[in-house]
Amino acid sequence: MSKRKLLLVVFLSMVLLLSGCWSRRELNEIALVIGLGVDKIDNEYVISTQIVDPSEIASKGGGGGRAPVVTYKTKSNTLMGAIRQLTASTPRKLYLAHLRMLVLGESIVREGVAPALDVISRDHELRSDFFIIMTKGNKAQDVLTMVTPLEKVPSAYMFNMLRHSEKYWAPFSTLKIDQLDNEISGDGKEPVITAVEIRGSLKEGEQKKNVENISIKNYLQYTSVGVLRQDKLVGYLNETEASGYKYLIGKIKSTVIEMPCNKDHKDVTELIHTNSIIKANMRNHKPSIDVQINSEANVAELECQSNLLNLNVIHALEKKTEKEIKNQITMVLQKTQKEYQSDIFGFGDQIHQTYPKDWSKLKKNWNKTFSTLSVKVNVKVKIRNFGKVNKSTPSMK
Amino acid sequence: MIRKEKIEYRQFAILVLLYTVGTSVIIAPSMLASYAGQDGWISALLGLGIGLLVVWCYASIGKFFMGRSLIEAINESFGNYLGFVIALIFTFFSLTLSSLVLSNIGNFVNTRMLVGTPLDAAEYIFVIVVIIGVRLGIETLARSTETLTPLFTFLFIVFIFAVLPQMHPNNIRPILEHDIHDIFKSSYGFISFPFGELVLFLMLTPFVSKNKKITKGYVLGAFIGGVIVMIITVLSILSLGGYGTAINTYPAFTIAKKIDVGGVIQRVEVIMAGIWTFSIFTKLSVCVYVTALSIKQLFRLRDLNCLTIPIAISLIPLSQWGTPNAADFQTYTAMWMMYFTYIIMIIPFLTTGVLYLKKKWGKKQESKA
Repeated sequence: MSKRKLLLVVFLSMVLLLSGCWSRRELNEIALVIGLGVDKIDNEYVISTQIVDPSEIASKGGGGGRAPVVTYKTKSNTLMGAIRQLTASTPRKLYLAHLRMLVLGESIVREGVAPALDVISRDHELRSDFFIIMTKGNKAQDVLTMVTPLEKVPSAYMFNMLRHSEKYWAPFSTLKIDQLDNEISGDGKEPVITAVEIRGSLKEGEQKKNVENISIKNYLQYTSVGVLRQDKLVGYLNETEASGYKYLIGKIKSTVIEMPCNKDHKDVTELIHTNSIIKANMRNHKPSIDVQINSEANVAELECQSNLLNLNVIHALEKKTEKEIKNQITMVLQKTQKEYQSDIFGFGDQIHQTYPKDWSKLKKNWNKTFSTLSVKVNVKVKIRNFGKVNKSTPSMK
Repeated sequence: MIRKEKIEYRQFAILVLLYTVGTSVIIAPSMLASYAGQDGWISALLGLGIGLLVVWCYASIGKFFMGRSLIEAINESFGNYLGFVIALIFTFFSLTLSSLVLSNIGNFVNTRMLVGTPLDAAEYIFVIVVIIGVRLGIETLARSTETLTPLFTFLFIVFIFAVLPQMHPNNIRPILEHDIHDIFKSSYGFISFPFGELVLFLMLTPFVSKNKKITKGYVLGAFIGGVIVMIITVLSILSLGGYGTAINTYPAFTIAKKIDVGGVIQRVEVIMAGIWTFSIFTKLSVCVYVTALSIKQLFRLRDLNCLTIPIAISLIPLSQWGTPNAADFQTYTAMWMMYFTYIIMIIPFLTTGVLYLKKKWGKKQESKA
């Protein structure tokens, strides 16, 4: 190869490699935002950003004694403005690609969350793999200042808590930005957002002392689920109702069901597979919904005396579980239809998909129609296993 | 005498394939869903059918030209003056298309990957590679795309499997909700882009080593390319929904961004973007090559290589002038480019008609004399 050609190759490869460095930012120049909170106070957005202090996270055997994360707060009329304004108070430029939690304050969800979501789905730096939650009673900025045990980074704490809770406990579910966007912009399903609450006191929870004891007094907990109509909060579902919601839409991965067996004792079954089939029907242009829920369960805990080798006992347990599930579903239906008038189950989508022509007329007044919609629920539970022993532990009575 | 460049029909097919996939893979899904929503795939199917018919006609025309390129055929049928004008329009089309392809990749890289990088820098990198490719000639270009094909296929298959977990079958229902008018409206665009734009290959048919195999290469390439675009459209509709596909500027990139296989394979969208980097490179190279070839034949120049650098460099200002912003590109530019393509699509048919009549007339004259 001649010298000129070689030079050309070197030059071109430099162009190729260096162009990627145009707006490079080294790890020590960026602030990894891991939690983002949005509140609306006095008509202004208050953005709280939880930023990781990498040297505190990485250091083994005690760093400088600083907190592993820092939460900054800024006020501005717009979200983007607030985020950029932060450069005036942080030494590093915020980097949003590693966001884990977006915490929406109750105030902003009540007022309408869509305007705040725009920048989150538009900005190129944000991915779509973080979870969205809301706060109940507290401000998002307060939630993001709580010190958490076990996980050094509170946002990672909330992230993992939600992920595991979705897997093993019925009421709560994860929510990502594209799903929320679709549900807000579409007209056949309304969104729900899992809500977090501060238990104990914020003042003590903010301090490092909070995690120095063995018993944790001030902590974060998912307690309920916020129901939205379009992008505005209309109310909350409690744990039981939220479970009913999850049964209905068939998103339960695994959970437990308690049912009374006598005055002060309960039996528990563990659901392992659940699916639901929602069918829309149309008779004389009047819609109705049929839901079939199929579930497989194991016996998890028996407090009353029973012999599981007796098939009748198993059948009775199946029936009781079915009744309990149906009960929870009825509760949530009652509340969303009568009180909130918000179709969080996606019945509208079902009707849209099966009867597109009728839907074009129904959709204008869907919330009204939904509140009087007849929903038939059929639950079928099968018990497969009863664990290691086939009798309940004998009591001394 | 310079040895004439030759390409195999298989290489021709691969060029057609990558050209078809080209830029349409990143924009077509959104375009198809814009009117037809979740029925966009039906529009794609319709567009594919009609597009293939058009391509088949092109192939037959290419065979009919018997080793002449489109511009040579235009000159022969319309004479020196009218022929010059028509050929000039064609050349202009080719140049416009090149600049649009460039602005497409430039905007894509600039909005989704290298946001801080100036548009010029991103475009220069592409243009430099294209200049090198075009200067080496069509034979080298064809061979290099042939070597890239296995990687392209591999990435595409991985892409399909990786996005499968995000599919929601319900997103495609209700089928045929939109009336047939909307569905057709979406497919008009798909017929012109990419199938109508394949008219450029009529400049390359003389290079195919066996005249007989032109049809096979042309139609097969367009068919596979069209199916790939359709698959991407279906995947976007299934994972983002009709509305989501329509509002996303680059739906294919958005679904690539969502890839997450078992929490291990994730954040691989830039590798997936390699698929369309190949195909857009091929499309841009072919466009620039055809533009240079057209100018060469139009002005009866001896050398093609003296044209490549001026053309390629002029593309950068042209692309930024032609599409000043992203909104303009999606609405106004897309619209007039569609009409422009439809007009250009008529040229080969007219040329063939005139040539045919001339031949017949010439024979009559001969027999009379």
